[in-house]
Amino acid sequence: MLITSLVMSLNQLLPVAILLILLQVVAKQSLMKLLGGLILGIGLSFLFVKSAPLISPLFDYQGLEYAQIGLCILIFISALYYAIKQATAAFMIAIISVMTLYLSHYIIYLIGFWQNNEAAQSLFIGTFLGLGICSSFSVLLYFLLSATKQRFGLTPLLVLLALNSAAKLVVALDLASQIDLIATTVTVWDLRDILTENSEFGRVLRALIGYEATPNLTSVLSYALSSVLFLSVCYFIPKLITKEKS
Amino acid sequence: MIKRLIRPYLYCCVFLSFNAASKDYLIVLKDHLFYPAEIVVPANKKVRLLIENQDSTPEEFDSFDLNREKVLYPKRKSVIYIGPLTPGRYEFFGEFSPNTARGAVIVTEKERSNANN
Amino acid sequence: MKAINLFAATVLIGFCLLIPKLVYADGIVVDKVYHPYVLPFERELEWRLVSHQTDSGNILAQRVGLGGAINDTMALEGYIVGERDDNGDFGLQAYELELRWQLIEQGRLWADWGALFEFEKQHDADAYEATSGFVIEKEFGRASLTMNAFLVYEWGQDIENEWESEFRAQYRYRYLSAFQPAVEVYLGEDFVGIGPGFIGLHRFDGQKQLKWEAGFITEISQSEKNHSFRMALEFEF
Repeated sequence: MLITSLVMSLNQLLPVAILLILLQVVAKQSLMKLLGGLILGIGLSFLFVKSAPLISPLFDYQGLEYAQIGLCILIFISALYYAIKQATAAFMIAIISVMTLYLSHYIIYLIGFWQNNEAAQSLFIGTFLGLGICSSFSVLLYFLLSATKQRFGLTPLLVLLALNSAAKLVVALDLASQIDLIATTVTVWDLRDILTENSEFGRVLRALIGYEATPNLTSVLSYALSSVLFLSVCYFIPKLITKEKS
Repeated sequence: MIKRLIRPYLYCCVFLSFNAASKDYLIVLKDHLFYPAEIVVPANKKVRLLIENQDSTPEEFDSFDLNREKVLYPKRKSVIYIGPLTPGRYEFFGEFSPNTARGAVIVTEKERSNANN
Repeated sequence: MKAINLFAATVLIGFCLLIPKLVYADGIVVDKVYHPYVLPFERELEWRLVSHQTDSGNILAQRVGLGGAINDTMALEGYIVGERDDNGDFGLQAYELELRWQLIEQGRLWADWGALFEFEKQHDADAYEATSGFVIEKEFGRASLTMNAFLVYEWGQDIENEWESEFRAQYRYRYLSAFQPAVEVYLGEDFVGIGPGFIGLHRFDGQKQLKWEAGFITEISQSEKNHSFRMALEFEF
């Protein structure tokens, strides 16, 4: 139970931590705003879990999937806006959305298994340790990305952010095909022999840039198009603004 | 400008969907175990998985191979669409009990009746 | 004098890094990374846990140890080791005796040096293990790099007599004394592990302090799931 809750908390915290660090390195937000965003995110995650019985029956029992698709799209748009304008509101929306999307899974797990008193202690310790390990990973990633920014400028970071955001749209597509909203196409390639998503490195790569060992054609195309779109907008919009000003 | 691009993109995806008849396959989750642990489905067809959680605790159906993730609330049935899939073995597990709740979807070319409709 | 030290150090580090390429260790390679410091009159109580997870199962090992300094530069510690294997049986697995020796005063040379000697006997089996090796730590501003290189010899009626080697490294950033994020690397037989972790300590009155550490190590040389989680709590009094 301790190991399961540790691994689970780590798996759900990782995508949140990675997006947070990416946005922070692109443009730093003050500690107060960061903490504010985290607290709001945890609050909204709890709210989302509590209102799941209300949301779930909507849209022919597909309410939760629609909500999650909405969150994914929101993350993409707010990350893109932040990359161009560095607005605090975009930062907050991105962080709160990603926390609601991922932490809700973990909160359901906690609430579901909390009733058992013996499990409660292991759950608490496992969560605490998972937070510690994730914090450690986040600090190391922050320094690595900051050093990259200093050495190579903003471009590699924007590429990572573009891939990370495009991955969220692929998650939205997977959810949509899960509820038969769109047609899925067959698997394009199978990289499970080289790197499975179930391995730890696979999971980190999945959380970072949306690595998928068995993607379908729609996902691949969507991923490629969205990341190119993201980077193009990041490149052209600031140029348009400076052109207008001059 | 971004919103103007996203909306038509979404509409395209929605219009691409079609509701071809798909077979139902039932999986039961009981005592943190999936029954049947292995389910055989036909290749290149959309498949509807009906998963019933008979436990009193929630579970999360998670599959990297199928790219599906859904919370299974206690004493409830959940629907997950998969496919079309090429022949092969696609594993899934319960994220809340990863050591016990494990299974696989086996996709074969031959038409085998595991369907429950 | 300084040049000779530098030369000796380079040869030793090179030797330490070469050992894992010659011989490898099997079993669980992930364990704590040792630091080359011994406080005179120190006494400590230690608890360590390692959980090793693969697709085929989970092995959990815990050890409890009690020890103290026997002179200004050496500390001796005794452990009992318990293990829960894939079948779910938890039982006493081994006894261990460990000698840590601080070779050089901290800060005297360009790195701090120590040595480690261990002797382990399995509880229910005629199997023995002896370990010896070097422990090195060097500060780089606010970060510290610690390396351990060990040579192990296993013998006994119930196991194969063989030489093994292990290499461990920890690069940590001394952010706060209570939370120092680190990245750890472990090398052994068929095992190349890397992962994040943290160490921390809290000082109480006098020489009393509580140290904690945790790490999550992923095996990267193979494609399947193979991760280890380690945790250690040490109370010095």
